Amino acid sequence: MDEHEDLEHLLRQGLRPRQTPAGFSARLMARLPEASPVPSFRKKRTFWAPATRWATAVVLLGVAGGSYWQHQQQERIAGERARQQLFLALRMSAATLNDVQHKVLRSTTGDSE
Amino acid sequence: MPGITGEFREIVEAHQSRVFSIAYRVLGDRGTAEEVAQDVFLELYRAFDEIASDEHLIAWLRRVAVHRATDALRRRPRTLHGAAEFEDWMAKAPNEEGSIPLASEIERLLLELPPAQRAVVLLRYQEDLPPGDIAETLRMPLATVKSHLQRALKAMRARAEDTLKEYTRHG
Repeated sequence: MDEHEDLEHLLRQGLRPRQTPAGFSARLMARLPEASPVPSFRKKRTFWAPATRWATAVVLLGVAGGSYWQHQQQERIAGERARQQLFLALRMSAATLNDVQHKVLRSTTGDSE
Repeated sequence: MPGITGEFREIVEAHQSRVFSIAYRVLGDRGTAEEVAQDVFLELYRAFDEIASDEHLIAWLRRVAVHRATDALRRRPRTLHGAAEFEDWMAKAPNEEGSIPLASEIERLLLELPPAQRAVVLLRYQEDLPPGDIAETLRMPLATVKSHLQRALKAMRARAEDTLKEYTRHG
């Protein structure tokens, strides 16, 4: 073994990995949340999840609001129609009553004459 | 997120000594080396989805550990570039026979090298990488890697001929 190989051999022996200070990984794990709450590949999922939830909520609210508005409109139209029918019925009843009253009056005046 | 932290903890436990050793041997002090090693793993945590395989993970850790340790070295005042602090620590930590352990002697020699040579020697002898892989890891031309390696070995041999001979005789 020549001088060069000797030195290389000593370097390999002397440069074996050293032990980390006691508690290294526990201290590191305790720092994880402050560095970044989740690794970036997780972040993709958690980043989109709230957005999707919000979008879904907005769409559902829109659909619910639209159906409610449509239902109110239909009720308003139906109410209006019913009111008109009621007025018509009342007008017709009034006309019929008038007619009957005229006939009764005519018959009673005819009788007295 | 128990799945993620469980998987991440396994990775940390498998590679912490590699990352810490690179940082420690570039910097020469345990406190800063631990900070750098922790930062490397936090960076890995944030970039977890970029990792495509185990080989990629190891190459990523090596590259980021060398770069972050070298950055920390640059940020430190020149008087604290490790050697003085390291000498101080080593003086307090002889082995049972009262002599300096081989690892400490090698680490002392490493700290006398310029940072780029230090990184190349670490990847060559701690990580056992061939020069081509070192060039890829450090994004450095192959000729530069070979030149750093030759100069580093020459300098280390010249500085520590006597001390290293002692280990050769014992070994």
